[in-house]
Amino acid sequence: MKKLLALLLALVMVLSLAACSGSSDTAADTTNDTAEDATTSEQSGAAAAEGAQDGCNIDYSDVDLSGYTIGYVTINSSAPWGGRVGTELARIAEECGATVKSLDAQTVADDVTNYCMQMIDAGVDALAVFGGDPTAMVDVAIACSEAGIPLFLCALDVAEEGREYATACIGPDQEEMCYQIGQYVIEQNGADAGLDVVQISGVPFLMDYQYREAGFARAMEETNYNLYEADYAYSSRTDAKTFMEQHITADGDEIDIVMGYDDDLTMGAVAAIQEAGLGDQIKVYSLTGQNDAIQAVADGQMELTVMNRADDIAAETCVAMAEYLNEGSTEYYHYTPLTYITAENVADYIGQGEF
Amino acid sequence: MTETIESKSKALVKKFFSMNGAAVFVAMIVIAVVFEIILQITHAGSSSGLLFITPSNLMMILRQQVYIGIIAFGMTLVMLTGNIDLSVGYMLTFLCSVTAKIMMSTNNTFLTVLAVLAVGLLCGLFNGVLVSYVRLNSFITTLGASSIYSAFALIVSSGTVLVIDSNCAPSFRALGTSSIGPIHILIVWFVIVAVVLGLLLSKTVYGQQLYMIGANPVAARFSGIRFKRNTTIAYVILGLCVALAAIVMMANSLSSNPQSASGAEMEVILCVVLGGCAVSGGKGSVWGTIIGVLFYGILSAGFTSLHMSQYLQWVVMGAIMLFALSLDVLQSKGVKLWKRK
Repeated sequence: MKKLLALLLALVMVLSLAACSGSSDTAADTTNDTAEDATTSEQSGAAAAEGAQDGCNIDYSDVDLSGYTIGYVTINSSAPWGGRVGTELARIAEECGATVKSLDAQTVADDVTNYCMQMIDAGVDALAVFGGDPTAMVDVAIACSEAGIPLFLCALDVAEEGREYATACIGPDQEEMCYQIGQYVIEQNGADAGLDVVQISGVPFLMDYQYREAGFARAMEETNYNLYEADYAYSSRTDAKTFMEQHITADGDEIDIVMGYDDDLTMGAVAAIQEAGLGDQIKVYSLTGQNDAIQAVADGQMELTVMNRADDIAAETCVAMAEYLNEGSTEYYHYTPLTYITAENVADYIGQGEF
Repeated sequence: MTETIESKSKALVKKFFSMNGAAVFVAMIVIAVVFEIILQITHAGSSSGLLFITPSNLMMILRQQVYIGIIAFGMTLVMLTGNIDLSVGYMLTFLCSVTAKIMMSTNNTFLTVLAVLAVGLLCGLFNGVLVSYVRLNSFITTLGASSIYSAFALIVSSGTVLVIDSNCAPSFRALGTSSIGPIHILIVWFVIVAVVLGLLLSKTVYGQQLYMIGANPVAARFSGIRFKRNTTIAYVILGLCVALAAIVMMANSLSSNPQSASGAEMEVILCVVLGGCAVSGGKGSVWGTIIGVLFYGILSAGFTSLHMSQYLQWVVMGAIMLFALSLDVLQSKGVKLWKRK
């Protein structure tokens, strides 16, 4: 019995170590307690240069952050897109003369809040946060305001009650993005075509998806299209595929359009459409700019996906910081440009997606 | 002569309804017919044939339920012992991440399948040892384990979506997308697991001992049944079933999201309970679970076909699960819901 237990524990430990070894590249060690010690990593220019991208849409040549120390807290530096935002922010901020201190919560949402508090205690000149929980970020915004530290939110806004304490939110306007996709759908098909639209969405209670659905619904108000109730596949491509198969069985001949609110899920719907041989009948529109979705646009299986560049968010964050630190104020919302990828321009973006 | 035929047919009906999941089987057929009628009415004039009860639709429903079904067969074994495993949802998420990660880095089908089955076996062993040897409550233990598997999934995938290249090894893709004649490979997996575990339960001493352990654990212990070992093996088999589900799911969809959490455990338990498996153990069968899985699939497909709001679907599914559980508890207490006059 004891031998069995010992063997089991040993195996579990081996499994844990093997799994952990996959994330050894993370920027900071979350087991340490303070922002002053080894957990704070100043990113080298060489490492940052590896993440450099051509084609940034934001002009940051005049941005001056000399002498400022920027704190940056991320939910996960290993995620391809989120990680690139951090890498680009460090590179651009250092190019502009700032020193950047980063902390990585390694997907633990509570640690984002804890690390923000550590950054505030460490007295950084400005704090940028990527991927914090909107509700939990209210306390961080209040703490920043009390400490006189400007707070810059990358990609995800703080909950409404915290906005008066935060300095700026930088990222895509999710609602407007989906409104524009809706406009593109109308442009392609006409407003009075009476089309049937299946909607494949993600997590119903996440703000991102709510904004996206609201934007598309707003555009569809101008049409006589029949919008099906959104199906929530959460984060499962398999579930998205199942929903699409069920719709094809029930209304296969009638479905004209699929609007997917996340490329990963949309690709499940695309698989179902292709397997049913309805690729010529059903047009698919989506967003997030995932590599296999970009490839699907190139292959004629999708009409559109939308990519928002990580370096745009990073550069716009630096612009907002410089404005606030040097001039004393900046606009709250800094919307970053979006890249609409269609059959016309897809060749330029193959392999350039987030993951 | 007429009386003999009548009594024989009555006996047959009685025997049928004494089988696990028989009532659900009848309910399933009734519901499928109801969906067909509603769809015929709503699509009046647009189609001359059947809309819902077609062979292709029924095959598609079965295909969609394969992942849940394979796990449900393993869960049947665990629930027969009077235990439960609430970690299967996150275990599936974790094993999907492991499958994607290994396949992305090696592109070796054999290695991937072997490694994922080994990790699944370890997960099952971990749960089984804690429940049977350390004697922790299975509900609490597997709830805790699900948190561990969730964290493992995030660690393995670095918190991001893992997408396997569509040009990966053809042998891997074949595990989830090929066909044997007109039968999709997913259905073949479903049938293989059902037959193997069905025979294990009905034709082997081990299977009979699982029933004994669930029905009367004290008597089973005094009868010399090695209930700790047998319970652990049930958990290991469940772990292997989850691993197989993860492999075929990844081979089919090529995408793993570590934050899916999925809630698959509730679907699995619902299917097993609907199939007549007693939550207290000692009663249930693979046949019953097949009926439960199909019933769940038909309900789900029917609701989507009718464009029912997903929120309302969750309410209905939850109500059905509570109803089935209540019925099970009342029956185990000897309460008769209806009496013959």
